[in-house]
Amino acid sequence: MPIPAFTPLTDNPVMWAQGLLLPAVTLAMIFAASYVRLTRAYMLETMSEDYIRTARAKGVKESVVIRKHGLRAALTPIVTAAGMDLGGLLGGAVITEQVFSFRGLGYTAVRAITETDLPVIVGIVIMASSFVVIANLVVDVLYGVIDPRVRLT
Amino acid sequence: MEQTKLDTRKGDPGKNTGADTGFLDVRDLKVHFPTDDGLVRAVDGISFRIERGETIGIVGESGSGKSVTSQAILGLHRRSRAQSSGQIWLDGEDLMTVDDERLRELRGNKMAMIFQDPLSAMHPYYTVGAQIVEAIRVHHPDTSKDAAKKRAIDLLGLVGIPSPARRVDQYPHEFSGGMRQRAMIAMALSNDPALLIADEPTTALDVTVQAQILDLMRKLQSEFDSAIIMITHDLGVVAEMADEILVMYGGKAVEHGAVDNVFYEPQHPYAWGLLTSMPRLDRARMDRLNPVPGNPPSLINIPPGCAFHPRCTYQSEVPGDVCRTVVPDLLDDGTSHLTRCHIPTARREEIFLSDIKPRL
Ligand SMILES: Nc1ncnc2c1ncn2[C@@H]1O[C@H](COP(=O)(O)OP(=O)(O)O)[C@@H](O)[C@H]1O
Ligand SMILES: [Mg+2]
Repeated sequence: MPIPAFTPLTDNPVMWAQGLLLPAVTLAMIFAASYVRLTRAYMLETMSEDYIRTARAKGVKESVVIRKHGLRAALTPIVTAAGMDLGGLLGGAVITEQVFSFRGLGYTAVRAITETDLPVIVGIVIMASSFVVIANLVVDVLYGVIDPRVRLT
Repeated sequence: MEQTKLDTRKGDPGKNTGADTGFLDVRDLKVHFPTDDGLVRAVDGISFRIERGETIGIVGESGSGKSVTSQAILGLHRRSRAQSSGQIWLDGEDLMTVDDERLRELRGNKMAMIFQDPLSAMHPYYTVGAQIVEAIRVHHPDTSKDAAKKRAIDLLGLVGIPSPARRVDQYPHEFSGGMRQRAMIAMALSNDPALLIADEPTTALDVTVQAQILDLMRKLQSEFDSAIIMITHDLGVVAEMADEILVMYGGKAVEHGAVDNVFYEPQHPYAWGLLTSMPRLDRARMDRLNPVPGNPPSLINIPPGCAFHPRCTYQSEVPGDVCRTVVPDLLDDGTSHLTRCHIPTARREEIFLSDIKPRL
């Protein structure tokens, strides 16, 4: 595994991807831990629903009951949490960028704040807030895809 | 063990193993749930038997173990959570001993269930059609999606859903209560089940829709020659539909026999209570209904002796504290009419004629 160093996408796409691999995994792991717990909790709840019993009563295989009937229904709250996290990704990125000595957005934000570089701070705040807005928009659209009851209302 | 043979017609002779087990023969079924508060004896020794084309009605207040009984027949209780014993013979096969894979093959295919609440019992994220198609293709994987959908549309039409070709692509929440219950029935019928279990199929519906649904079930029964287990707390529904009635109380059968016996000449004080508490449209209006006094028993602490004794108004008929200490047996009065009560049969008949019959 190469020591991650940032290479611009336009210079060398392969190097770019390689450089991002480890930091991306690190960032993902931070969030994955909480998603595992969240998914477990919602699955436990979903699997005791009446429609799960109906699926079993139809003779559906247990693995299909879990994936098609259980996981699908447990998805809504997980997507909600993912939307929130997308917005907060910048905060997590500060530490990850430090660890991998990247000069990324998080690093820039911290630097701008310590140096009271106002235009940069404003820029980053605008960017972060657009992030949150877009993430929530995506989540709202996803709700409709997942849950047909949302589509109508 | 209680013997409850009311009909001696044989089941499918080709598949029977030779043991005289009828089409569906439930013998001494027990389902107990260990919980933190203690052992819940939800079903505690139920036996009954029906042939194809027949209907048994299981009645009792909520919490008497009706749904647990029906789900045990389908094998829906987790072996890790429920302690089950007894035998469930379906067409010569003991469902208590077959493996999970065989049970899965039978479920939704040879035996199907209509659940109590069709809003929560259908998956909110899949169209009604998709759920019926799944029920078909689980057991007939060779059927193409298009053919299965065509069959789903036919089924929806069969249960009286208007414009089924459009409805098939709608979601359960776009259906009204009665339509949803019909869709649920269509789903249960998708593989022509020989045994159909209906768990309070009409409880949530208004009377007109209820009558339509019952009509539909009767029609389908004569078409497919299915055996039906009709679970309800509405004795009127059972009297209309069933050939025999099993009255459950606290996980046990307290009365069991042909409809003419149990509905028109009930013998158990609990059945008396149920019948006299029924609102009647064909009688002059009484001032108020007469509910059975008291509450259903906790299945963790079932009262000692006769489980019904704390609510029974006829305890004085039995000398001493027999009712409070000795569990009565389910006894046959000679006409295959079984009753679990300490009061002697002759005395019960007297009480019925003098006290109960005039109030029915
Ligand atoms: N999985 C379970 N664990 C513990 N108790 C249960 C379970 N399922 C049902 N019971 C209990 O069994 C009793 C009978 O329930 P049920 O068969 O649903 O009654 P009903 O006659 O109203 O259908 C109830 O007291 C219920 O609380
Ligand atoms: Mg029930």
